[in-house]
Amino acid sequence: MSRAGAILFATATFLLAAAAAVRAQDEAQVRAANQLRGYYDTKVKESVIDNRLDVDLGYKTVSAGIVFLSHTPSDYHSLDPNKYGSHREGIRKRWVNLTHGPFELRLGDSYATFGSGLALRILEDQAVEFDNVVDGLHFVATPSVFTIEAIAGTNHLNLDVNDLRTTVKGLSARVEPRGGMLFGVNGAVIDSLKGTEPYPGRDVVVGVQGSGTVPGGIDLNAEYAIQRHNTETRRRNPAEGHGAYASARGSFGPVALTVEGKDLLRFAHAFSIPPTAARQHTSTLLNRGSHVRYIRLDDERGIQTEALYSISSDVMLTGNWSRTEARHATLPSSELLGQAEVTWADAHWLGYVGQTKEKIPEGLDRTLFERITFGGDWSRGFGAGWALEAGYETQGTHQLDLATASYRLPTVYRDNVATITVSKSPVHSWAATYEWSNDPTATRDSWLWLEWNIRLGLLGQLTVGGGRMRGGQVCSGGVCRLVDPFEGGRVELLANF
Amino acid sequence: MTSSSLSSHRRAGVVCLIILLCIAASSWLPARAEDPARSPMAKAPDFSAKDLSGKTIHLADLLKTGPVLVDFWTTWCKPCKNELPELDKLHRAYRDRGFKVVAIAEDDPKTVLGVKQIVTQKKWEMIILTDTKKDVGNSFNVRNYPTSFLIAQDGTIVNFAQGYMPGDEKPLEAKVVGLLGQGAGTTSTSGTTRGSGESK
Repeated sequence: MSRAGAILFATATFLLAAAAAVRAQDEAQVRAANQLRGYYDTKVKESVIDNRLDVDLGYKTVSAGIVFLSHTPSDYHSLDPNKYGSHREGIRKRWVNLTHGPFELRLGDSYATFGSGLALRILEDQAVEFDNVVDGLHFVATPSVFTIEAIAGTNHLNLDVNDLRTTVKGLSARVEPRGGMLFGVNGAVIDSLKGTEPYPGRDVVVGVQGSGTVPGGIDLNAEYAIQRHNTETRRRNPAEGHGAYASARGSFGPVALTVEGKDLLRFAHAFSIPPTAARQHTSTLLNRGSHVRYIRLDDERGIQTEALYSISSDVMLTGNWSRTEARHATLPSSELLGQAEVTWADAHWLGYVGQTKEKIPEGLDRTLFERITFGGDWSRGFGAGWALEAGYETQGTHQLDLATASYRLPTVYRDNVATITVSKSPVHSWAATYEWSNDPTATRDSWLWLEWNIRLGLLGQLTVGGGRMRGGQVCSGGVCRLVDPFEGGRVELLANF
Repeated sequence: MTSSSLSSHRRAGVVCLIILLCIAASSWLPARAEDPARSPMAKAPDFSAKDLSGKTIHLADLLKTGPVLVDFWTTWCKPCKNELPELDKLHRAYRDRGFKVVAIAEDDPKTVLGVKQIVTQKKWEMIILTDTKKDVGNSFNVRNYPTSFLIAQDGTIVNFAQGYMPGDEKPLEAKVVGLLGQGAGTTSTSGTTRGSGESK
């Protein structure tokens, strides 16, 4: 047994035995979830085995948990840690939680979000493998309509890769005079202790937030924060910035309307994930060819509106428009989208068309990208658990150098994605995704990925896949990451025990 | 990379492949009769989260009246949009017997408005909660959407599913009916009346 396996086995055995002993006496709870993933990359002929074990113990008002992680690239001395991850074995996170009436104290790895995440957002999002947890303490008191929340700690994950050590101290005071109405004051001090410029330095953030429903059923939400950044070199002239976000939503008969806007100027720190004013799409190409790919998120202002129109319970239309610009370069980008969802003839139908315009600086020139995207999706069940789903999306890109447009022909290329899924509920599904492109900058002109999902009941789920995937932008919860292109096989076993 | 480490990795790969193929093959075997209420599964973590009106909902309170289906979803998840109308039908069909569907939106704080927009337009009656801090999702180790957990009244998780396939609602309904007991006739989500004692 390898060292990682031995530690994993010993830890799990100890915790399960301890929990069983406690459970035998009283109403203790133990939960464990194990996620095992492995893949073989045919391009570099290397494999990665990744295992995560979460174990939580609960006894009355006390709970504790650990996350054990084993990440083992086959040749971790020479593989790029940014792409394959660095070799890790051990307890990644641990915490103890105490609850007493309206008070809750957590020691160890902690999270907190103030408002919409403008002033402070410390969270884990497993869908995109994002985690900016801090090791310290988190305290929440909710004695009545008032809430006091405090957090203090230091980041400790990924220091072997980025070497950015940061501490945070945050405090939030909120009052909810009645359901759905909230006013609050948020503050945070972030000290970057180690790293490259503009660090080390201290960021001080102070903000206010408010939300509620006004007569007419319109929901309003607004948040504003200012940030002062001090460094060794800027001690006498600290940089100041601000962040603002506001939104409104209302229903007017069959139409629901949302408007939101944001304005950020020199607003960024290690624990801020400001809300975006761009739509997060369900489709691959609309997300990948987003109009905000090159926007500097600390220096942006934008607006988004979306309307939903329910013609009937089976037909819904969506219209969305968003526009954003980076103040430092005044390059506006915009997106217009129309979408229809219909349930008809025992099938779900989805169709959409989108137009994206994006200008990005390339040296002294500016390049315009205009993308027109069409897509659709159809799914239907056929009885006895069998179902079929098919989707197709195509995106044409018109790329033009604005400075030399009259001397150079514009570039036009097209990306296409087709997917087909056959499923036999409740256990099996087989999916094929074929992507092809004539983009002159792409490394290939086609990619085929096959996947088989097997549900193992209460045990978990097994996914076996192989082929080539193009990669691209994956977004979840306001956090986006770029997934690298991949060739090879992947096996993922999610197990609960 | 040395040849010995390469061969050990190959050996490990072959062993893993054999195990996985065995697991895959076993999934084709006829499913054994399962009493969901007695499945040996861990208890669900207790949680509280706010609904769209700002009211705090506790899982423990919901479980007082019957089993609960907890479903994690997002506004940008395509299969979720196909699954949720079916779950809403399930909620409407069995809520009078104490069963509830709790759909927890894992969207970030700003897209909570989008959640409200969709729920209003679709006229869903199941319980919609928001988890902008992802505390609840992380306590259930959710990393894909949709992911659902069927929780018996004693807090035990008796069914777990990632993703949605058309037709999933039928075995799920059978499990809900099983949890609610083999009592009087029940109305299925398709509108037909089930006979006493039926679980499918």
